[in-house]
Amino acid sequence: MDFQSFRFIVVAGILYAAFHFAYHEIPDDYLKNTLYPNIIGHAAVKTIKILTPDRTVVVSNNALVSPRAKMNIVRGCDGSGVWFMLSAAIIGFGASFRQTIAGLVAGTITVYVINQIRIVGLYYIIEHNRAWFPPIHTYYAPTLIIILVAGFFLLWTRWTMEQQTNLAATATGKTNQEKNDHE
Amino acid sequence: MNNPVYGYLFLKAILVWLLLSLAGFFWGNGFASMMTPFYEYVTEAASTDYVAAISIEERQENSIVLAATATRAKLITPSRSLPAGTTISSDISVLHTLVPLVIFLTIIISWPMKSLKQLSLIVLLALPSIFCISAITAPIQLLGLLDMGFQNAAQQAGFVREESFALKWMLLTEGGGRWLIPALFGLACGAISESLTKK
Repeated sequence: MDFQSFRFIVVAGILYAAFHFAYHEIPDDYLKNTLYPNIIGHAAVKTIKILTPDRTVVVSNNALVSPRAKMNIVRGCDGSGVWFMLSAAIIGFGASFRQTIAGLVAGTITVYVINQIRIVGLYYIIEHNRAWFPPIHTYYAPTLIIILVAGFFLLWTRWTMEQQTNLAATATGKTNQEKNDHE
Repeated sequence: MNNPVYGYLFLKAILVWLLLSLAGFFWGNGFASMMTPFYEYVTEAASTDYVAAISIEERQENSIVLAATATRAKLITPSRSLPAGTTISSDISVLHTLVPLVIFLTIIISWPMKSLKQLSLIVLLALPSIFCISAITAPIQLLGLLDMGFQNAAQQAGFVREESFALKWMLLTEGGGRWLIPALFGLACGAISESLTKK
């Protein structure tokens, strides 16, 4: 294994652990009563109401509640694990500062959107057939999300490498031009 | 994805994920049954406090069940302990334990192979990796769940109990570490096979 790959694996692992321990310092009550309803719950309810206007879904602290289903959003259901993983990978990749910031912002939006789709999807699954919830929640959804986020990471790394190639080409062009001017 | 190679790679990964997920869904129990002696070995190596007996129970959600018999008295609160010889249990769903392996195998199978030599190398690296990933996820989670029961009992009695390594590790892996671990193993296997092939 080359040094860059090794460095990437070590840095990503350490950063992930740091994010994880920082996240566990956030009190449960703050997540349940403030963060989850405002960041995840209300947006999910709006989406459900747009898709199916006949539903009477409300946010009650960290839960989506309707006469047909109740779904709790608990620690870990916020997409934090995938977000930490992606952020650790983006920072560990060692791109330029600007590219890293762009990756973190776009990655955060991507993870948020994917997680909202998951939350809304799981709500409909509980409504439709509660028995489907465990396999989809614990098995299919997490693995698919990892693949999707890996796809985002692949795109981002390609973008950073293309930018670096373009920069190098521009710099080489400039140097040649300067040489010609001297001659 | 203006480069077709990336689009192809992504589609291949999705297809591999789908096939592996379905395979795990239908044959996961068989795989977990095959792994139970290994899980027992790891559980006992990770904690000498118990003798482990692990089995697969077919329920609405099929589960891996650990029946752990305490080899010595285990202190829960200053006035309460679990007597030696008592058997306690914890369980996790079979599908849940397959998640890291599905991620790992998706990366390995989707990895762009440049030669037969690289394919052989990646298979050679993947086999021990499967055992490593299994060892640091399922058995430790089963142990962590046992300890969580003690933590809750101590908390209810108004005591603060020190978290064991198994519990800390379980919280780390359940928070998303069980996704990162196979991803890093997969990347490492791919990168090592590539560099060895170049040499």
